[in-house]
Amino acid sequence: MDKVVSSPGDAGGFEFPDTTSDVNKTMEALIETANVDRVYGEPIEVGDTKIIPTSENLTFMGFGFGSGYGQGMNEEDNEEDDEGTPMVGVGGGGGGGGRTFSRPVAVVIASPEGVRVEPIADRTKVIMAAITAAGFMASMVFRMTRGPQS
Amino acid sequence: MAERILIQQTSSGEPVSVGDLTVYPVARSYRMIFPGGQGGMVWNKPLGVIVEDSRGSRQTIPVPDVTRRLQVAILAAGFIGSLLAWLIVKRTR
Repeated sequence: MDKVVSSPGDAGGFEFPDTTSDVNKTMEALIETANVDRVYGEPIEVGDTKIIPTSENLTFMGFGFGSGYGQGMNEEDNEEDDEGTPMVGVGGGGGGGGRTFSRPVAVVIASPEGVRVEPIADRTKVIMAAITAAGFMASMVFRMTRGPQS
Repeated sequence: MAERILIQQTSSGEPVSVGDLTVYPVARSYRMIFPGGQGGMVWNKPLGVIVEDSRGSRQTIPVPDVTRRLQVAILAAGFIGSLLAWLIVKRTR
């Protein structure tokens, strides 16, 4: 990792790590994921027919960095002198994270006779949506039938 | 000049040949860079395929997202159903 001195004398000459290049590399890697190859998989050959899987994917990431320093006098080290020894403390840190969600959408079936698209329905997601909607409706009905609370 | 936060891009992939047909996959991506450049989001989704035959005629076949449509329809039905129930109860009281 490259080192850079933040203004000389500011933090007693401490070199804060230069994270800019790492951030740029990570962001470039993220932007490269916006690609048609991420959506359409490698064609699978079955005889004369080629099957192309398609998916939707969502990638996100975030990160943050921070650093700081402080200076003061260490009076404990110097009993005879009132001013004490000058001390400088520095620190910094950072973190980040990300995730990719992907799910199949459809398959493209291409044969010499023609091309057709077969959609894929994710039953789990549909059932979860139905449970959410039913829960919302039940909660509304329950609150309405219970009447105003005293 | 300020950098755009949200970028939409439609791109076509490598063509796939089957017999006399050539299939061009088409996808759309949305890129969002968070303010300050400390993160971002990329959303890729298929749009459809363009099928070209040996005579040069082209046909576009969309790739439907059935799961997303069902999710939206069910959640909208739940919201509208709740709204109707609320209106009915309100009128009867």
